[in-house]
Amino acid sequence: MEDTQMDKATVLVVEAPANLDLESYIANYRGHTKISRACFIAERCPSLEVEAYKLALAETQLNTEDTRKYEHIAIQLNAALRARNEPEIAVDKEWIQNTQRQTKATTEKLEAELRNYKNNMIKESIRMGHNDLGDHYYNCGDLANAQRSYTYTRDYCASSSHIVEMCLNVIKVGIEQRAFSYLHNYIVRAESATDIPNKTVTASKLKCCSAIAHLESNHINKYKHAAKLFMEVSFDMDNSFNEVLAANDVAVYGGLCALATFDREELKTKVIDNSKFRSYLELEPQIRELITSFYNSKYNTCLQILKEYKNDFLLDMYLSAHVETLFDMIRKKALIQYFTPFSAIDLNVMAQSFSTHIKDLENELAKLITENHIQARIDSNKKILRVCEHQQDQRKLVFDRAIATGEEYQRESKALLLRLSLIKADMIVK
Amino acid sequence: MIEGSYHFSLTSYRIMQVALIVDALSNLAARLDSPIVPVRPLRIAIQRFCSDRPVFTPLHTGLAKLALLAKLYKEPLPVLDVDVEDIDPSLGVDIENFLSYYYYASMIYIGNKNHGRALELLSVAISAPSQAVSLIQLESYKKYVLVSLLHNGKLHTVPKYTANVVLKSIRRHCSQYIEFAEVYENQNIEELTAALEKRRIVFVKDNNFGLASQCLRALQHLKIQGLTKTYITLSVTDIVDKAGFTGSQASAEVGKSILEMVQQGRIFASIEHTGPGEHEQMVSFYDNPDSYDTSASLASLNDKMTRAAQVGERLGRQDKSTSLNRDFLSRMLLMGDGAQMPAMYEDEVDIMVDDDGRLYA
Repeated sequence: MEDTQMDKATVLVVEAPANLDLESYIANYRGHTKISRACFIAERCPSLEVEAYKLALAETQLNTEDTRKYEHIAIQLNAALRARNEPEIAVDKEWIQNTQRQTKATTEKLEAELRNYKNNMIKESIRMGHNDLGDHYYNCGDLANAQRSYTYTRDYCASSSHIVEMCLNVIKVGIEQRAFSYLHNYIVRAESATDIPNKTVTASKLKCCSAIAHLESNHINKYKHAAKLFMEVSFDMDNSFNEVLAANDVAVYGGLCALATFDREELKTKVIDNSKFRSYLELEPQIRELITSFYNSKYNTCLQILKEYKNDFLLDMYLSAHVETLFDMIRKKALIQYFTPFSAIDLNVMAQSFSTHIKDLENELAKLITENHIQARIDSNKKILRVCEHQQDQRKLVFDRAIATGEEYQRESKALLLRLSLIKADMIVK
Repeated sequence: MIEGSYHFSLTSYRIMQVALIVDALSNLAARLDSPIVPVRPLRIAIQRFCSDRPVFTPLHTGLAKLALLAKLYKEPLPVLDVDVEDIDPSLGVDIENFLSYYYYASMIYIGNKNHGRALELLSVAISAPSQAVSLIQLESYKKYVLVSLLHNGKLHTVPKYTANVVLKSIRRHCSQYIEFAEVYENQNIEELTAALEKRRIVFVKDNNFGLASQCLRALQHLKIQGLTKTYITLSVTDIVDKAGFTGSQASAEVGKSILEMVQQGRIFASIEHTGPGEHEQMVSFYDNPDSYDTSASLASLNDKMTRAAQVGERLGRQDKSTSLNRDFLSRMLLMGDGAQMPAMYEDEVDIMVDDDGRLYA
């Protein structure tokens, strides 16, 4: 509860997105993700706040035994209603009490069973016992205990499908805890398991987890890694992993990451000609259009789509934090690609193609030049961007560098010799 | 230590009769309250004495200090421009003389706006072999930070053989300067102005405020220099904006700065008046026209190569004499065959060896 409050202070407020139908969006998911996503939206988007909290509340009551979360959401919802001068909803006290009582009973029952299994030393039963307890804790929202129970099953895994099950459970809880750093181990372990049923689907699920973990890491090439992983996800998975990701998300995350990091060739071979990923793109036609328009150099359309969907992306749990960076990267790439075939280009024309003001464009280009993404210079008087003559530059650079190195060498050697003389003469600061 | 008056003590001073005269001269200067008097004689004395080999003498320190007091920044240059190569303790020099000389000399170069050379000298003082820290080294580092910003727009690291005690002490006592450099490297004029104002008292106390204030202008110049890499032409108004000039005279100042930088050879540009107002000035930037294809630039390149080769030769001689040195050899033997040569130079650990090169029992 504390951290949601902390979030609130830093969270940016998102206006109502143009393309989001909350109910059908949430219906795409299963399990806890439904609630987390609804809450995520409610915290950021005032216009959807009430509706999203209501959905989350109903889902919590219906499908979990997490009374703490229920109360928390109810408080938030009532606060939102109060702020709008609408009547508050009544908290279902009876359900809370009943559930708490039941939960306690179930915990005790499962623990007793587990003890029993342990006494009998039947491996498979112990594993099941831990698993059931893990499921139960998970259902109650006690993630730390769930994680512990799932981890305990590791010692009792007899087949590779058990191992995969264990890994997926641990990963599922890990993702919900947003503790991405240690997921990697479990992903690798699950991936290395052989002969398991529906291998492709499992592999795809693991790729998705790995991609999400990459997104949350600090790795310098994280978007590219994530994009590559999403591209390899088989369409057999479809919506079967929707307790974490819906099929639509694969298209959106993968599409944006690929657009931001792949070069033209990769975009063609790995995205546009990729039959697996194409099926996903069918689900999100705007992402398909985004990618094709970028590939066909229709940057205006491309940027238009991005702008239109920005708010949607900002309300996505995993994407939100990366939207600005990804958009920035895509825009930069568009500018660079646009300029590539030319030796000189009229800034007015370029500004038009990017539907931006010439002054802003100039600043953007200046930044790209300083960061060495394009080798060109701006003629601000005539508003023309010109490529620099390379060869001259290279030759001069070599000379410049040689002279600098030579002088550095002289200076350092002389300083060292002098230092040696000082030491010899025993002239030391004491 | 810095402010204290310099005088030769006769006990440490056995070598030159002429030095006595110079000593007298400097006393006279102090009496007459006119430090100009002994500068030239000192310079000539050093030049005569060091004509065959550039050895460090106590006169060096006297010359640098008196020249600084007399504000004669050009007069001592023929001596200061020669790099000291040799140290002879029998000439009655000590480490304090040495550090002071490099500190004063660097200030003379700062006066001459030769920041590169000043930086070089300061780094010698800072990285001098040390078991303790001298105040002169700390003061040198303060200047080093500011001059380094003026010269290259960023804080240089000190040589890696700088003693640890010095590094620690720098971090403790010069933090204001290091922070100032960090702000500078963000290249934001407003922030830098604020940072300067915030540290005004510290800088004034250290007599570094003037130097620190120059950093503002230097940053603007740095930004203009950056613009030449991005733009072929740019209006003066845009430069005012992008380089962070402010005030009513901003465009005039930009013009002045560009002229100054062109004169220094830092940028190559021309200003065109496209209309009557000063807002209609267009600046065109060019590449450095010297692409190393003229005989003059090749000659200068040749000259640089010769000098580098000379240094290389000296290093070779030193290497040879060191590797024939008895102490060195005995230490190498002690360290065994597996020891790596370069590690020797950085190794500060003293192994107790007696005159015969054996380990003390």
